Amino acid sequence: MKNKIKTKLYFKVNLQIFLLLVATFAFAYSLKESSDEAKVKGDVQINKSGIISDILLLIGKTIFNEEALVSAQEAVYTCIKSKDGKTCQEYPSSICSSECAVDCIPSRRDSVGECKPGTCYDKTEGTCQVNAPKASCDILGGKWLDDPKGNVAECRKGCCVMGDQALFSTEQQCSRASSVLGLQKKFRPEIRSELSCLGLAKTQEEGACVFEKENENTCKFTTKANCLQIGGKFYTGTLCSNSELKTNCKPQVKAECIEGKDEVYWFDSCGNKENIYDANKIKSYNNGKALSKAASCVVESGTNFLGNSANCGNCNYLRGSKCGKKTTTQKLADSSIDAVCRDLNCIDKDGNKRINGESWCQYQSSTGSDGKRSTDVPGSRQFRENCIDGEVKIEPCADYRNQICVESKTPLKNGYQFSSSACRVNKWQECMSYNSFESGEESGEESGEEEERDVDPKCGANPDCFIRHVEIGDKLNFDMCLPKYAPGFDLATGGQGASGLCSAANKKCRVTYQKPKFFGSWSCKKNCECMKDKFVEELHDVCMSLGDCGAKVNYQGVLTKNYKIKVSEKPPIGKEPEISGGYLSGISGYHKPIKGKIIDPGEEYLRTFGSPTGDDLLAISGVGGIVAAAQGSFPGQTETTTTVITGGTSGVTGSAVQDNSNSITGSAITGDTIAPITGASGTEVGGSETGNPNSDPGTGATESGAANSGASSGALSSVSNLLGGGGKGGGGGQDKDLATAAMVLGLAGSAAALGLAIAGAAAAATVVGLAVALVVALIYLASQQETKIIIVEFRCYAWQAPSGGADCKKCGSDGLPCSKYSCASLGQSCKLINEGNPQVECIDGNPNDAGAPVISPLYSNITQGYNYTNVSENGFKITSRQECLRAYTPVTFGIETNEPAQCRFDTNHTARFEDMADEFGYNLYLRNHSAIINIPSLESLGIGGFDPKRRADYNLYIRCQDANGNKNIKEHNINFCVEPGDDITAPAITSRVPALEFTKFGATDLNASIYAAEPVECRFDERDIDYDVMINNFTCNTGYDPTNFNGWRCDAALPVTKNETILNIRCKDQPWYNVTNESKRNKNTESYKFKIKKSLSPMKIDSITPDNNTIITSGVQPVTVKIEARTSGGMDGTATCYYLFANQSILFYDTIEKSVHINIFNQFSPGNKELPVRCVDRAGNSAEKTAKFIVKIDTEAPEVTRVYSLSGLTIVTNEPAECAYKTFVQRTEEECGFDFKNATLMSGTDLVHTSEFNPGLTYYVKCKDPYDNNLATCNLVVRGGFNVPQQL
Amino acid sequence: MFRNNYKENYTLFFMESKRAKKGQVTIFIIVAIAIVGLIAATVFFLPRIQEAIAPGGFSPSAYLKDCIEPEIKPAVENLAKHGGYLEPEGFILYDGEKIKYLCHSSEFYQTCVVQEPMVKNNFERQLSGIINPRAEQCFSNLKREYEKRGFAVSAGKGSILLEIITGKVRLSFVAPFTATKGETTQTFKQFDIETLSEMYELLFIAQSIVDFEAAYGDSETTLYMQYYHNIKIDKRKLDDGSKIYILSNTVTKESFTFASRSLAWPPGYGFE
Repeated sequence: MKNKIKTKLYFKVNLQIFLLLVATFAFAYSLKESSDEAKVKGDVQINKSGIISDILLLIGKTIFNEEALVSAQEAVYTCIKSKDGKTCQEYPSSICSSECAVDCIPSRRDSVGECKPGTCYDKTEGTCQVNAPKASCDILGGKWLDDPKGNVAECRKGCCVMGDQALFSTEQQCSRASSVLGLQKKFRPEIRSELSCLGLAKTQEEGACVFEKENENTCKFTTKANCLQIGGKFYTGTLCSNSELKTNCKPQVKAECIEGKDEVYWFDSCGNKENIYDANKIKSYNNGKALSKAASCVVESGTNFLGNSANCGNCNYLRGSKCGKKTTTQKLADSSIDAVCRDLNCIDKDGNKRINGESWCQYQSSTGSDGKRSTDVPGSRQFRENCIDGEVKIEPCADYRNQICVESKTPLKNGYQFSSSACRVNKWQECMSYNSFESGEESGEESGEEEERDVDPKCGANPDCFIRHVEIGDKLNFDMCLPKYAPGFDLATGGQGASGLCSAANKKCRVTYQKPKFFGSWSCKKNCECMKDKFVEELHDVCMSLGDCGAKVNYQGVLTKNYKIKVSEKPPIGKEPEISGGYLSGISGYHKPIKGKIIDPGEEYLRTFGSPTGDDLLAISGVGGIVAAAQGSFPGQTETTTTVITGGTSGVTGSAVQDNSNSITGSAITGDTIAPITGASGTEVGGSETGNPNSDPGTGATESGAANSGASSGALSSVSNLLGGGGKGGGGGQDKDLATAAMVLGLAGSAAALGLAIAGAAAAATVVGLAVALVVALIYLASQQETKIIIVEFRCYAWQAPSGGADCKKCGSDGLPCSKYSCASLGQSCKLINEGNPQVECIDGNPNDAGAPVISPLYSNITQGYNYTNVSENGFKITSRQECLRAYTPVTFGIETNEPAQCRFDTNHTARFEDMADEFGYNLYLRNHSAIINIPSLESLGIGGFDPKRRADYNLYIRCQDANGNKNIKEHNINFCVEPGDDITAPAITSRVPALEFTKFGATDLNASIYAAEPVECRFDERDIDYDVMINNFTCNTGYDPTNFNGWRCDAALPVTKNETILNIRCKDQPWYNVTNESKRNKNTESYKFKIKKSLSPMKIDSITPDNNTIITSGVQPVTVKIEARTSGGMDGTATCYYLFANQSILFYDTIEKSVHINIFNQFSPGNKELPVRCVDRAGNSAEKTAKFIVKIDTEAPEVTRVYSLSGLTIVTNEPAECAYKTFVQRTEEECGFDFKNATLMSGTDLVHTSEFNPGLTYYVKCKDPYDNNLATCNLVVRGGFNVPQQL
Repeated sequence: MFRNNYKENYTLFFMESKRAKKGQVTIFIIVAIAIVGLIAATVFFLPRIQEAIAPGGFSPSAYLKDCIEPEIKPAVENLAKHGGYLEPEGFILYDGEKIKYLCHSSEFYQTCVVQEPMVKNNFERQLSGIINPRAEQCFSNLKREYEKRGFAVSAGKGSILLEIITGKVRLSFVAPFTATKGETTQTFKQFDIETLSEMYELLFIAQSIVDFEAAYGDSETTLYMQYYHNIKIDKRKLDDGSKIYILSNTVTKESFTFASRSLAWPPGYGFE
């Protein structure tokens, strides 16, 4: 087998996985962005942002080589104004200019001045908008403040009390509202919650305000402040109709609702509100005194929250009642009154009563894991439902299960379980990253050691993951961390990426059968469990937990099977494994939600919500975990599933010209142009039989035993020939055993004959000799076994909706909104119309399609130099200029269908689409179906010899099925022939690990690997000399299967002797010709240069700020702190830094390979802080240092400590402050309530403040510190000759 | 100015009374006190009267209010339907309407960038753009109305200030305006027209929701509704990750609609 281009192609696979990683880490990032709750050392809250690109850079450099990085990671540019009018958007560099109305800036948004996020402060209104780009704020005349989270004095909120109103606002907002409403304000910064503030509004004291109008006493029930404005006399807590006030207001003439209040109130004849309605008028009247809500009647009776609603108007909003118009069923006993406490509670879909304000989850299917597999089904979504004022509101969580609905219940005093729910991020991507390699300083490929797959214990702690223990047999067991709530895929677009992900569950297993050669029957000897249903069922559990993969029902309960079980040949005993009917019927019930089942928020999750749960460093090695998961090999087996990743199939069997059977192995076909597969699994069979060193150890032993016996038999046969005995040396394979047996017999016979010839007289001895020979021969023959290896393969495909569109109209029939995802899950031809509108509908997009897909060659995709010929409705031929396709050559070709279709092929004639062996490409419904086939050598196909006219002919038979289930009845035939071709090209070394030339400081050797594009043997030397003369060997994978998608790996510990060492590496291909046919092997004539540089000094963190317990003071909490670390030494002084908290390392915001590293935290609480920082360079040099600082919150207003008159007024404050004063001739309400901007500022902003002083005036002085802390009243009132310290 | 004229009239009357007979002094004094009281009352209430009732029962404020108010409500409604813009840029088409993104991220996995940091200011600016031409026209019509009534009008080039404040939309014509007819002169410095509207509250709740969207990628709307019982918030999630927020006041039936796209996720791993 030959794979010269494999590395290049594998790189594309690599890219695909890389993209997968992008999603994973970007996701982690988004979580970090979405919360600021992460804690450092107990109570330090931290936050970071904008690191995707940097993380990718690091991942790329850590996991992949530099070239891969450059190719795989596309830069993100910032567009200040997009063509459709959006500001400060980021786009991939390739599309930025087409999206942007101005020039794109080659930088991330945060680095672009105009787009830098900060807080935009509206100086007039006093409002703050967080995360606002600078330019947008400036242009509108706002004041832009450099803190995106609003941790600035201007935006500090408090309670603004104005009359009976309260507003949770900034101080300026309060001033503005006060001025607009013409009300006195009192700003209370110590009140920090909106609810407390709003509560305050209701506690404003009201009473009767009596004044004279038209010669009689009348009254208004209002606050004291309002009463003063009217000029009335205020009677606190007294009703206007109180007889003692002698007003013209008569009590309790009507009962009504009041705007903004929840209760039913009595009104007097003057239109004033009185007490809460109670049918017992005397009690409600309370002798003309105001009656509090708590002292009023109770609308509840027993457990009925409205039990007394016919007689009481004390509605309770929080318990589910509010004043409203009466209805036929809800009314007061007094029929003259129109108002009543209306029931605001709701009835949910299941008929349960829900209290107003309660929210709960609604699932469209079973959800979560049942211990074996994730049970969420395609098309299902999770919803949060709220009961708001008697109406159930449905809020969908993000589709594709990117969000899940969590719910908790709190018992109320009456025993009712009050539900609260939320849509929260489903952290399923993290589950994949927990399937990591063992991580060490130098693990994995860089160490040159074999990776071991392991599940990070964090998997068990993550409420969105579960560990699936797959146990099929002694050797076939492993753990895998899987999403508990499997993600959904884009079913409408086909989902090629989804196919890649699903294929992570693909597995192959070799089952070995043996039987005595001459007596007895077949028995299974090895991996027998793989022939049991359990094997495929357990793998299917993994498959369906990866996402919308495998056999699943859609959310309306229709099952489609998207998996394949391939068995290389019929087993000699027993049946082939299958997914049982019982299993399928079990999973068919998952479309039904499990009554009463809710997803618990998970305390651990809530505690760390939004923060990365994984150590970033480990997570990086966890990338390998994903790769490992994708590679997915059983312990003890080395076959990689690169084929699996790309959905590739096992070898396309063809028919040799000499033998029209289907015995040709070695080529493969895939449906993805970027993911060519070249028959890895096909070669596996052949490889094993020729003693592939990568084959199963047991099998390999057997086969190598056969080979050895063949070899020894050859040797012995020559002896026996000499001796005149029979026997013949055989080749490899099963016939060798027979040949060996014959040879042994021959040897025994020869020995006996020789005995006769030499000692004819020794008859007895001869008889004994013959008997011995016979016994030996019999024993030998009895011990001989015939071996059969059968490969069982499980393939997991992306889930496909049922064909047709009969069920489309069911979308939304359950009363829950229909989405693109749910619509697409109902049928292949279902289409969502009016998307993004309330009139959205799922319809059958192609109801009258009854024709099967028409297949034709895909002209747009065929390798240059090749053609489609003999094209007819029955098929076509692929030809080169010489007609036949040359061995070893990769050829891309494809078919096109006139409508989206799913295609399959077989090398044998079959009767139906369903009978065909393999998918042509994925199992997706596509128009274009491409494949790459690597033409095998004729030798590998068993057509040896030197006849240049040798040919092998191939036939592929194809059928397709469209979305409506219409299938081709007739096969479409693709034919091509193969002509000889020899490998005459020297092997290519494609990459090195580590890619970095630098080694760690003090290193004396480097565990390194190189990758070649084909199986090779390699050597190295400091001298640039011929391969054969080189003396140092690499240990190479010489098997037919590549080590991974980089190709075939060779490992060695390379000496690091100088500051800069250059080693020359040369390789030789086709190791299977070793000794036997060396002349066919190609070796490098030019060396691959492997450069190694030493780190000349250890890594150092020169400085970290803040440090030495620096005090950082702020007037608001949380506090923003910038941490800056400077590094030197190591490789070149640059490094990547992490801060550590809760045993996790989090990447600095601005750090990748820099010498100055910055991270801005904006969630620090007050206290002593220690933030350990670790910086690592690419060579592995590291250093640690801890930032130590103290965060203080200053919320105390400055105090005046001295005041005196010395050529003017001088006051001294206890902290730096700014002071201002106003003078009033008479005391007024406002005297200490003035704003600084309307007052006269004193000189001095430190401790001493001066101004002129007129002893005839009274000075009302207020001071504020740099954090805007000031007393709501005056610090000081100064009159000539003496002063009055104030705390008014 | 009006106040001075009345003082003048009062002086003339007092001089005449000096020529009256001595026996009538008491009566005259009583009448004089009454007149003084009347004059004082007139002087005190003059500005309001002037505004309310011009010659022939004509009220310029009422005239302007009648002229401009019918324009304000539909304009507010129209803007509110589109996130505060008449012709928004950076919008999503929802139910046939262009809804402005007040916060948007075109990428997946990222919280949004605020597109309109000062929602109220922008709303005022947009509303002014719609109302001002009509307001100017109304102001010109006012001049013509005075002229039809025989007044000579002198009006300077003023400005029209529109503010959305708690409970109201206030339109202020800040323009010196003098109407003279014979000896009667009316001078106005400013006319304030106020229309009841709860848009102020809706806009600030919108800004608060945008804060959440920008910081956390989503918002919890239930609390707003529980704190402010007159407010209803409808959040509609679309397949592309966009959200449409419809904020409404259940009493006034006013509503404000805007869009946001923040922390959107692709299906699966994002490369299907």
